[in-house]
Amino acid sequence: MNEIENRNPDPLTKNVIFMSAIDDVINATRANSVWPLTFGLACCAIEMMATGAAKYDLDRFGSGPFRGTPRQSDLMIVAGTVTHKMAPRVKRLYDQMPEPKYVIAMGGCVIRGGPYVKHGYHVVKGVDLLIPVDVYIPGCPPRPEALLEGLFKVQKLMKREKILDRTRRTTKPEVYQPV
Amino acid sequence: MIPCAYFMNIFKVARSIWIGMGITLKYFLNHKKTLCTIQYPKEKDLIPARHRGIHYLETEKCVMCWKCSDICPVDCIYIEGVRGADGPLQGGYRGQKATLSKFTVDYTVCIFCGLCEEPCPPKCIWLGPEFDYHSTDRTMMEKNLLTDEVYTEGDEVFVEWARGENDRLQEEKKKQKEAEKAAKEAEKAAAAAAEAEEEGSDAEGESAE
Amino acid sequence: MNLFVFTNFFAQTGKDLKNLGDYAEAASTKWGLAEPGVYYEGGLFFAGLIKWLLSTTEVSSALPFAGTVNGLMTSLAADGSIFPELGGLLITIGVVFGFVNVFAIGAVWSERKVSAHMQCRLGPMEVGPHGLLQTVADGLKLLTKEDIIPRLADKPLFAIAPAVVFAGVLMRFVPLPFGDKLIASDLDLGLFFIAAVGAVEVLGVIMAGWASNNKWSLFATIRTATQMVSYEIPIGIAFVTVILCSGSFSLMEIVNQQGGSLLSADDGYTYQGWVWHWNLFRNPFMPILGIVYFIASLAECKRAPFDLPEAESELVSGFHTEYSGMRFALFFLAEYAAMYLVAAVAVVIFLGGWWSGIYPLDALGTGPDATIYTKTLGLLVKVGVFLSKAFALVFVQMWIRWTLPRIRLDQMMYVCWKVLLPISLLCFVGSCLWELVSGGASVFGFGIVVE
Repeated sequence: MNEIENRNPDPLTKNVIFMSAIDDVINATRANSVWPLTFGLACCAIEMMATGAAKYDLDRFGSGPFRGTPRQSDLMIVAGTVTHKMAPRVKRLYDQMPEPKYVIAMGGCVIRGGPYVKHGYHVVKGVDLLIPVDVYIPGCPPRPEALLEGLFKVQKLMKREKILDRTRRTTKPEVYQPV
Repeated sequence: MIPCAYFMNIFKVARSIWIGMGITLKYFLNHKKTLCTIQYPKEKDLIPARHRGIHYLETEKCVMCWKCSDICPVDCIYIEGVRGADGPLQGGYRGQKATLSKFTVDYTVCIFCGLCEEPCPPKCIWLGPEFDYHSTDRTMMEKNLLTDEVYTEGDEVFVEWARGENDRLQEEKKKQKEAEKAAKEAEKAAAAAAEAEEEGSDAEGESAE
Repeated sequence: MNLFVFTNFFAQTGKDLKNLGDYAEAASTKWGLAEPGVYYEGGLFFAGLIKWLLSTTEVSSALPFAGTVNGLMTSLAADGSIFPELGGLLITIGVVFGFVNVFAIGAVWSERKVSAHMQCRLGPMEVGPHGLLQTVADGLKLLTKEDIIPRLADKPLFAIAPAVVFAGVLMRFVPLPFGDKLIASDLDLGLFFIAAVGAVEVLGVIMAGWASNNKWSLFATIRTATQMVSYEIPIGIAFVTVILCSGSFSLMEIVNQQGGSLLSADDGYTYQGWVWHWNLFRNPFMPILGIVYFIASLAECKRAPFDLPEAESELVSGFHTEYSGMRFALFFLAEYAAMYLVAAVAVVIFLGGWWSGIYPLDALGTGPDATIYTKTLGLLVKVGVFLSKAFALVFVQMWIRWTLPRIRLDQMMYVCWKVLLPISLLCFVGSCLWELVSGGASVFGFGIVVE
């Protein structure tokens, strides 16, 4: 379904190399229990709730318990427009999450400002100006299936980590190497 | 004096709890019938016909009018090309009245509003049923509609070359036009000089008689 | 299993024991004397089983320290073992703690599945077959999370609070039976012990909320302390009524009076317990008291609809807002252990404990001419009956949670002080009068008949 995956595979998750058995086991269990933080800000939150509801059930993948507190969650799904007023709170909540933590930027508003990119004086044009983002999901709002695909991508990112090397997120290539 | 309201309260609470628990128990026991989950990666939902997802372009119909790019509220469509139906760009993408070198949609901004579909005269751009364009890297989220692939730096190289080609062709055309103009003026000057000479000879002829 | 007897069994010398049958035979007699059928100590059967396992299995010599391990195992099993009390103690602790863990794993999975089925969706499906390994994945993930202690938090209290809460719950498992005579310790003051030690849990919650240095946690702590302490009163009155009718604090005694008794015929009892001999039908006030106890115990466990301490929309996860990783996992575990605990206590004091109420099942393995195998089967049936009743009550707790919305603080106080307390007091007074008037009889008679 994902055009990018089919034609230009992401070099970060293209070949999941077999690491040691302990890494595989730990990563597999961590990937099956990703607890999101309820951080719905605007309309994308409705689609996030729809993903958690009965038709496309997030609980099937272990991500059912949406925790109210950042201390107990692994994944922050930033769903909705981030305004200048909300920006310090986004940063604060991100800092309060314990490592290892991941961020999904859901929707057009948090990638580059969405419909507010030209004249939005009150909008932060992209949440990655505040916090490091792992997966970007375009859409206005993205379908629940698109959010599920984003979650699968986060699970794949988790599976390529090593238990002894905690600098897993920073290895993004500087220059894009076409495959 | 019996506090009737107190007992009525307790009775109402008990009855509502009883009814509520009956409903949940019914749903629990009839689970197979009331289940409505679509198990996403294995089963997929029907996408409606008017679903607004990833763009597609019919390149041979495009007239490069830039109407879709102008109406886009977030300016996420980038179009470049060369006018002229005979395709001066070798290896370009031939449209109806132009050859396109770049036609991309930037999905980091696109809001999937569908406004680009409406003003297109030959109706060659449309939003399709695919919705999944997520990525870990925001530089990988621009789609090249001419090749249906992600817009990469290789494509950028082609676009730069195309711009250079375009400039060169524009220069050539301008030179050609100037040459034609110069030739025309020379012709005109020659014609005027010839006429002046004729008139002069006529005037001389008359005065000689 | 009675700890004292257990440890003595491990310490005493007996006749030559060869196979499982011998061990079971030796274990099923009182003090291992060679008089079968005199005294059936259910827990001792498992002691015999463990002793047999220890003496006959061997670690393969390829592993390191094989010799030491084998020597230790045989010495534990042999006559005159070197660590009798310690061995018995460790096994008892291991069994209870292991049960609590396994139950918590199963309960978390079943809560998610039950809630999902009531909401027309599937619960965890991807992790194991139908998501059975989901809780294992959750637990392992919580182990790998960073441990955060807020800078201005009270560090010793912050660190100890989850342990105190869990200890308060685990201590209440001591006088709780799992089957006929399968108890860690049959305290003479069992019910009183359970009610009293429950206060340790309140202390732990207060420590957690205060030490977090967080205003939401503090609000939650105050609400929790109010709730838990208030609802201990209807629970206490329910306990007192049951004690009054049964005449004993000991949980095993209370259960024995609701069905048959397996004391030998020499003690003058015969067993003929049916469903209507349970405490729930003992006098007309007991069913009301049962419902009062159930509601109050829901509030004790901080379960919905009384989950103000964990209210997300108001308190951002309540007293465990600042806890991450394994500390949070301890709170989680304590909550599910408490669920089982109050369900098991309700089963013991109202629903007849391990008596199924069907005479042939209850009488299995009793009587003077029962073989080892019927005795074992009878014990397993009783354990199964007890666990099924407790799990059914746990299911009812989950069912209520996913039906009802959360109630407000003032509504909670109203329910406790103005509804549950007067009703339970009235039932208590009614039971007292009943006992006076009827001379201690029950409506449908007793399960035991003293001849």
